Formats: sequence, C-alpha cells, structure tokens
Amino acid sequence: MRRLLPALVLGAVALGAAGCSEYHYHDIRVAYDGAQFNPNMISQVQKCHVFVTGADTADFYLEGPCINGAATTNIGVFEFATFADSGTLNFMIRTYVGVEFDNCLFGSGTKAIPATSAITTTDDPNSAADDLIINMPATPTNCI
Amino acid sequence: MRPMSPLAPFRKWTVRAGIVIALVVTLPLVGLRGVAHADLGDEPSSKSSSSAEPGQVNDDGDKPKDPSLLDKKPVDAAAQKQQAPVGPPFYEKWQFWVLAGVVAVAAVGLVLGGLALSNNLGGGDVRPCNPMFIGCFGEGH
Repeated sequence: MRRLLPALVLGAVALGAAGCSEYHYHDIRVAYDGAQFNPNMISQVQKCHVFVTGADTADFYLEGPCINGAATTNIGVFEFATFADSGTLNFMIRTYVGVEFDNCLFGSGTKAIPATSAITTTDDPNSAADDLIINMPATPTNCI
Repeated sequence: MRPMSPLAPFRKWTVRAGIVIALVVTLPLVGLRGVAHADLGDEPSSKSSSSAEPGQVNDDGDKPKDPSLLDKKPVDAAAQKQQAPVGPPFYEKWQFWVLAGVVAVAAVGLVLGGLALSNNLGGGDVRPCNPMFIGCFGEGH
C-alpha cells in the first residue's frame, strides 16, 4: 500500500502533465465572389479542395453544392473541429474544373481565423467578412 | 631331513599369519572405502586406492574429505523444514479468494476508468455534424 499510493500520485501527475484536450469548432461559410465568377462558370467545378495550415493541419474535399453544378455563389457552411486554442488557422480553398491539376484550377481563396478558447466560432450570416471567399479566378486550359 | 631350528617354523608362521591377517583386514577395508565413496557420490581417489597397502590403512580415509558433508546442521534444518506441519493449499483458504476477487474487481475498474479518463483527456466525443452544413471536418471526423 505504501508503494501503491506514490505510484497512483505519479500517474495522476503524468496524466495532468499530458494536458486535457478540448474541441473547438469553427463554422466557415464558403462563397464565390459573385463579381468575378458567373453561375455558368461555377457549375463546371468538379473538385473543391480545402487546406488548413497554421495552428492545425488538415485537408479535405467539399461536396454537395460545391461540385454538383448548383451554379450558386453561396456554397454553404462547413464546420472544422480542432484542439488548437491559440495561434492562427489558415484556410485555403482551391476549386478545379475536371481533374485536380494546376492547369484545371478554376479559383481559389484564403481566410485566416484566430484559434481561441471559444468552443464554437460561428459564421455571421449577415456579414461576408468572416467568409472563406473564392476570389482569385484562374483560367483552366485543356481540362475537359 | 634337514634339521630346523626351533625359531624357523615360528618365524615362517608369523610371516604367513601376518600376511593372511593383513589381507583379511585390508581387503574388506578397501571394499568398504569404495562403498563409502560411492555413497557420497565421490570416486575413490586413485592415490588412495593405489597407495592402499597392507599396514598403511588409515581409518580417517573413510571420512568424507568435504567438511560440509560432516556438518549435519543444514541437513537437520532441511529435515526440520520437511517435518514442519503443512497446512491446506492456498487456494482452499477463503482469504485467497477474497483477495483474488478484490484484485479482479480493481483491475476491471482500472481498465474502465482508464478508458473513460483517456477519452476525456482526448477531448471526449466530437459533437454531431449539423445537417445544415455541407460537411464537418478536422479532429474527430
């Protein structure tokens, strides 16, 4: 018993030193800049690839309205979960016409969001300031 | 016939008698020495067997040369241990089963508690994705 108690205390200290993780959720609205992309062009997008760098690292593909020829500038909201509670989360989206080659790049956009201790960082539907806007058009060549 | 001195027959008799007595005494002793060494797991030394001559038999040669063999105390202690009263097997004692039960319950509790603690330290479960979203990504997804 005299040996077990210090071992339990040491185990608890080790677990405490390991730190607790807590989810933080970031709701990101994605949209095209309507001034630079017309709906007919948007309907040709077949790949929407999102990269996260900075306080966390990830990459994933958006589906649904992003690729199904919805021909709308407002793609929708995705949620990104992370344990990071400090630093900056850098989001970048690249949309492609056809396969995911550089010559098929259709448009791209970036957004930097501070990682905080808040559980949920929601998108303000009445403001485009916190949106991930695809505002850098490219010219796909020999893709289709 | 050649006349013999009165001392001559007696001297012959004594020499023959001495040889016979020496053989009678020596041969059993030599045999007993081999038995004694065999009992002790030790071969009789070649020196002792070759030097066993009549008249040179030493009674000390029958004693084991290893002093530990002469020491009776360890043997006595082992014998005393063996003679100590032996109780029932440990698994027939109720204390054993009580202790085993406590250890088993503690082990199961530690495993379940450790899993729960590990899950909590890992952030727990990620919350379900809102169906209005076009997707949920990152940790836990």
